Amino acid sequence: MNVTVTQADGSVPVTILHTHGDLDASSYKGLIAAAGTAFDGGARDILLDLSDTPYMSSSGLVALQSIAALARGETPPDPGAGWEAFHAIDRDREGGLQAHFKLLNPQPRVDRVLEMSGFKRFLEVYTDLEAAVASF
Amino acid sequence: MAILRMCADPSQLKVIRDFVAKASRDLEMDDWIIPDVQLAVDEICSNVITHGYGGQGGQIEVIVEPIPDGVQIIVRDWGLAFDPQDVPVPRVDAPLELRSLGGLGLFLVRKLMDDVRFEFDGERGNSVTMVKRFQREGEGQ
Repeated sequence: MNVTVTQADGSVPVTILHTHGDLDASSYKGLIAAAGTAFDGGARDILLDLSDTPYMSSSGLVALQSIAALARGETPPDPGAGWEAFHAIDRDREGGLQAHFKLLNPQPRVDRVLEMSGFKRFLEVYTDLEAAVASF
Repeated sequence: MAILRMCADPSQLKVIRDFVAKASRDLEMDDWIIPDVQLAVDEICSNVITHGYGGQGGQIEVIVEPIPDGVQIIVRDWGLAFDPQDVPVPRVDAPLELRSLGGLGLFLVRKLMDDVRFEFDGERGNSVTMVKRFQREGEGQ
């Protein structure tokens, strides 16, 4: 899998990460790294374009949760530190729909994983690029 | 029956998924079953690679074989054993900020497969045996 990055202007600048290929345990860290680089470069509103990603395992969900944390201005857990890092997530806070991280065009198998894992309840999903960009 | 033995490396997961798809088609499984089986095997193999072998390599074996009412898949490794009871059930109804991710892979496996059994043996290795039945849930009732 590789990741390309483009920009779009809505009411705020939106950084679009386009994944190409399967998102699994071999590739999810690359996506987190790409999002981190974008954030360091000033990205604050992130749209993840999954049009060209036919497959995602739970490793991809780790990447999505990490990017969501990044977009909230938090330091995402280090995936290299093992699953224990995720167990340390602060539960003593409110949570809900992610305002600064959204998804575009998840393919059927990816969409099913998002549905089963409950991620779709908290991540807005768009099928139209313009509508997605305008939503930020 | 089809058997694949691979190096336990994340770069081999696609090879394992392709093997599972081909073995499933050779067994003339319905197309709707194949993605579920692929994902379940991927999740178990990812756990083996990351936790069982700690990312240090090793061997992983995948066996796909027909059973009278479905398909059985065995994933075998010779890494560290783990107790699936130690993996907390994920809170899939909780907001992302409030949930941990550990256990989502196993959660998906249990949702996708009809039967999942873990066995740990110091000499014969660890195995996860999964069964997917051909009849969809709710059919034939």
